[in-house]
Amino acid sequence: MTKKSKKIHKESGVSETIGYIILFGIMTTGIALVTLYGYPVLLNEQANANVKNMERNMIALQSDVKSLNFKNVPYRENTLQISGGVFKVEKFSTDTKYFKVINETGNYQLIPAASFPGNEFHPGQLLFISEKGDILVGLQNGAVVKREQGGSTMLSEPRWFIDSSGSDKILVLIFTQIDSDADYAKSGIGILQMSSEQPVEVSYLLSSASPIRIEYHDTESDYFSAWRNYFNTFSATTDSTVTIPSVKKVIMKFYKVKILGL
Amino acid sequence: MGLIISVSIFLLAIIVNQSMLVGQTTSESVLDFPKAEIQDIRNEVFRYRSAEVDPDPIQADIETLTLYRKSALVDISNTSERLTIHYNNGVTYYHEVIQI
Amino acid sequence: MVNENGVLYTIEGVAAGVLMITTAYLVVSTTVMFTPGDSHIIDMQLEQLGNDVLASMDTPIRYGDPSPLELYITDNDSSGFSNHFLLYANTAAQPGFGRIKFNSTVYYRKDADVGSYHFSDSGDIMTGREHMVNVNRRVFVKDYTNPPPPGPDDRPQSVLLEVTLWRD
Repeated sequence: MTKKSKKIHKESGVSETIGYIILFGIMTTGIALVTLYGYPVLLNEQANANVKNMERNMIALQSDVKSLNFKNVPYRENTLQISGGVFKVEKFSTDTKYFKVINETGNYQLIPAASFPGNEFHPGQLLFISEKGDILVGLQNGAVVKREQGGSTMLSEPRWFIDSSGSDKILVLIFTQIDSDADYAKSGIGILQMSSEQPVEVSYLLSSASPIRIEYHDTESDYFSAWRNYFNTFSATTDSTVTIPSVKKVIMKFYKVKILGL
Repeated sequence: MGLIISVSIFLLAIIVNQSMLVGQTTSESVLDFPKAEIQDIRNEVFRYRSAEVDPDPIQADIETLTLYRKSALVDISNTSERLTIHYNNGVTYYHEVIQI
Repeated sequence: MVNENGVLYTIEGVAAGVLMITTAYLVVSTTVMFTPGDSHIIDMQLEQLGNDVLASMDTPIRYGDPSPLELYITDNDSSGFSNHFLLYANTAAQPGFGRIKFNSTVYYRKDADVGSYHFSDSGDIMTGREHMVNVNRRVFVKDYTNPPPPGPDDRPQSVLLEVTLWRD
């Protein structure tokens, strides 16, 4: 074996330097190409991954809010990694995002004015604002909504439903309000501490089956299409209002989630 | 060797990417599913039926308490030959008719 | 005698190694994240455990008898419930996990209203910052001999027992 290879190896015309230069050149070109084209792609991917991560976080938070609301757990906390943007708590206020529920027979407002001034339910939200500027991911009224470039989608729906198994059509609407003592905002790793408060429960047994109108008001068209598309699952609509026909009983529960710290 | 390592890194990267899918995790879905609730209601219905008491106030108990604490609709109805249990919490819908 | 036969291969190897490690680092740093979703696995297990404990306590020993759980609520026997619950809950507890603690409330319907009273607890002070889950069981009470005031009506009824449990 060694004898044979010795015979073949004639290296008089081979320059190690040229080989080295060729290899080095190829490597340098490769690295340059990766830096030039690959790295921006990776950075872009990272930004996308951050938004995806936050969507995931919001769904986990929604699960916690469900535990507070439907399983009557008094307190929850969840660790969040927030990168590529800011996470903030927007507590309910008299802002421009609110819901109204109206009985169209006689135009009665169904949201009690005693607890919610002006018969308007302002949910507030847990909001993630991406560094890229145009992406918002929010946990609003028990739903996870996302706004991107003027449009919006609902990633996870709230628990609203119609039960028409019996003779009467029952509409159940669950509202969740975000409250806090301070305006929290965070980037990096934070622990979101939440506690539940006594819900307000209202139920109406209507004298005759009536159409019920639910309205969602929003400016800047933030989550406009998200709610419109959700309302379409109840009854066809072209704006962020929906009229559900012949409802006999309306049950509404208003939960409040208090943010204790972030 | 180098080839094997790079191929495996590539595959691992794809797996990591796949895990990024947004959605509920399995444990969240399990928490969401009211298995214990439905079993509990069924069990309770059989329990009070075997005790041979007036079923109406007990059915009202179950319906009121479930709506108040769990935000779910329950409707139990009795006739002489059948028993209907209906449960709806907006995500899970359960309907059972028991012939007696 | 030193020759340079292996030099080129060494440089190649080192360069390839660096390139691969850099690639791996970039891929990992792009996609690595902290998943908060796994925190719910603990909740799920604790909730299953709590539901199973309550279900087995609500099973009569003999057919036709009241279940142990019914008797505890009928007699308002909070220490009996506490001992029984903790025995069952901590039987399955694994070493390394803390003991299970709980606090429970009974909800009942009185006409159109819902009332509640504190039933039993494990004797621990709740700071309100525990990682808690809540399980519940509907208990059929045939005869309320000793309802705590202002208690439920004296009639056969179904009450909702809610148990909040956590590990220390």
